[in-house]
Amino acid sequence: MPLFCLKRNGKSKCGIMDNKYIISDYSIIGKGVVKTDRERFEFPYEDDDGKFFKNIYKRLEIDYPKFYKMDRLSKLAFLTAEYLLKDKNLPEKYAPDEVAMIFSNSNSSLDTDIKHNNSILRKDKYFPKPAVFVYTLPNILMGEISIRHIIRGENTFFITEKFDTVFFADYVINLLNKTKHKACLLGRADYMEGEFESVLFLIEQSNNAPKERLMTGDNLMRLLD
Amino acid sequence: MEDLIKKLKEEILEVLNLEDMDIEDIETEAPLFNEGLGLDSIDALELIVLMEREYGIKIDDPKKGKDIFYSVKTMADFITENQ
Repeated sequence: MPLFCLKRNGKSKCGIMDNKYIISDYSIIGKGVVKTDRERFEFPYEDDDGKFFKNIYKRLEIDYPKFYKMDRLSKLAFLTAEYLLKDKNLPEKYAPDEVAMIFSNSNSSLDTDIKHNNSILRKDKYFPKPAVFVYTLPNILMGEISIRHIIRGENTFFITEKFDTVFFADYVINLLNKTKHKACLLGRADYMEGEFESVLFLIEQSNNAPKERLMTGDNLMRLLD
Repeated sequence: MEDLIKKLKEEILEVLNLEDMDIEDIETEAPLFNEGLGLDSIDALELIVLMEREYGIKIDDPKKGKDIFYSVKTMADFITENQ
């Protein structure tokens, strides 16, 4: 059972967090594969992640032209969210401000930052592109998911070297226990020069869940394997 | 006209950073904004700059933009008429 500690006026108060939350579903996108709790799709991957993302998008059979305008990091997170949430009808289940979103990665938006930097390096060819620099923040990907799935709860993006599942499990449980949020999307999406990984978990309340789906760092880690 | 339309599609992909699209994905007469390619006001700025930089055409009246940038076809027609 995870512990929590709160510091107020120099005094610490610690206790055991009430964990009634489960990992109700998840989706993962890696090179050549999309995986959810129920499905697994293989997609040909031949060192062209643009084509790979496009094939995944087409397989979803959705009409969302804005997808093509996103940078690679946002595309990756957007697609991971699509596979996770496509049959969930989240807006019918929760009010927009009852769903929180917590994301992290290790490269921030560096891939797009470099692209933007290259467009303004030369004074004689100084053409900053709004279509590029609008994506020079990693949390833009949460904006794309929020717009698509009508999510308006708290959102936070962490830059961490590794996906510390114990930290994030505690963080999400605390968030759900202490605020009005009833569900949380916990994600990790990273893209850098053709290397990428993405995973998204849906955390919800349940009084009747198998032990292996309780929201704990170990269970998150196990699903990643 | 066909050459100009093909060139315009390539330029649109380039300036709007639609790197995972091909020119075959852009329908010549389909609306560029909202539906179709789903472009927005930021993209409109890019297209205005494109017109000026590549074709030497300055759009003085912003009200005309809606008609000029309706589709690749209307852009090509406008360039042909004004060059």
